[in-house]
Amino acid sequence: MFSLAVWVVGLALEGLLLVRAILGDFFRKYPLFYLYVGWVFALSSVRLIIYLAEPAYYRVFYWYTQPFSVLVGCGLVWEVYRQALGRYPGAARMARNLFLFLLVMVLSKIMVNAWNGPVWWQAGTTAELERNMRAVQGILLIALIIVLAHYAIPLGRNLKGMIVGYVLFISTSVIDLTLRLFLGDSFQKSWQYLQPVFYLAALTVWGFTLWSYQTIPLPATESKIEADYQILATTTRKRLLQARAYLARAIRP
Amino acid sequence: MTGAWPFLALGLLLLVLVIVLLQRATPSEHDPAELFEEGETQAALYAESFPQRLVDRLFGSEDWEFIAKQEPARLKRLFLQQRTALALSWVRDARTNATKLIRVHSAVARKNSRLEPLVELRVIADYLVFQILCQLIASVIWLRGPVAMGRLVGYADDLSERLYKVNSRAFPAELAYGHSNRQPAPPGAGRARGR
Repeated sequence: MFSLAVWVVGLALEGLLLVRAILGDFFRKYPLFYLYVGWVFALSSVRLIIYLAEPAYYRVFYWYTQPFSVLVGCGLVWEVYRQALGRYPGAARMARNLFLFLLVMVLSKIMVNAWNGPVWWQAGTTAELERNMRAVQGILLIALIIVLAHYAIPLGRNLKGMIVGYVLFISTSVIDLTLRLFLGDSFQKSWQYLQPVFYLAALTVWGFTLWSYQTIPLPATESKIEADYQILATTTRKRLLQARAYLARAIRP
Repeated sequence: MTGAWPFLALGLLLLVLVIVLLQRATPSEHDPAELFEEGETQAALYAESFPQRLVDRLFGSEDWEFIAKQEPARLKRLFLQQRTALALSWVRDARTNATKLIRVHSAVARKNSRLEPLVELRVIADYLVFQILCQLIASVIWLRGPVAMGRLVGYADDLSERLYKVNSRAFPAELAYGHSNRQPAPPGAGRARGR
């Protein structure tokens, strides 16, 4: 009964998010985010119908459709990258290279697994596959957050909400799925409650932060410096080394 | 269960990062690069806010040798407390200047389409090394005080100088330092340099 109530509330919140975006005409500002919300809304509705009409098919349907949700979720990460770093080509370049490096690492791991055993993704069950896919999303999100924090990229309420909500959902999903896989049936009951509750928490964050459209804040003045990157980097490194030498000189008797 | 730890750690790390992101102060209206253009930050970065003579005295043992001869123990304790506070404030100042520098750097670099990720990583690594060094110095100062810090560094310097001498006596220079063509500077060379 509780999980059904959480399910219905979740659907209502997703619907509300979509309606607000359409009425406020900011649906097109974040197309990939709303595609994700729309997809989850549609899929959850179909799942609810199956759950009520043909409960025997629900489990199979859930695990067959879940990997698609994870793939559509990648669009949300891309949306944050696109929106936040659009005006900052240097930071965007850094993020792209980090993503590329991480994806090469993940692909290498997959290839090593394929070489060593019959299961290419090292996932015996669909739950394990979902956990691994969510973990890859988590790694990409970590890289993105580090870049955003290091370059002090202004985010605005909408983008910040998108990140916080999705990170909350992804991190708790990875922890939940891992515990479920390792603790087995003893954790199954808790998992059935925890997973939807955390998703509901993410939806609540989105509900508050995406209630209306807010443009991404820009610095009051744009920098006029068109410094050559090499000169800039060399100067910074030189000054850091000077500072280090200053420290060493001071403490040396 | 060992296979579960990386995933659990990943989940927790994500949660911690998002909290850090939330706590991060909203960037001020003024672009740090703007300050850079005005030359103010540049001046601040070059400034060594503590005069060299003061720094020399802070870590030197002359004052301590004088105070150590005085009678009331309270005086010695007070002296060490104040010296420690001053030395810690000096380290904090150095860290603040480095943070200003990296902020200005990233504010300019983030808009530069010619940014080179490997060079950028080196800059970040240099900054992190500097921060670790400052943390290390601050910890020693906090634990032992600035005078003991100076003595410790002096001791380490003497030790490495002795090792250098033993090493250079035991092996020819080429073997002792790999096959580098560069002439390695002896560890005590820093002291010979004028302040």
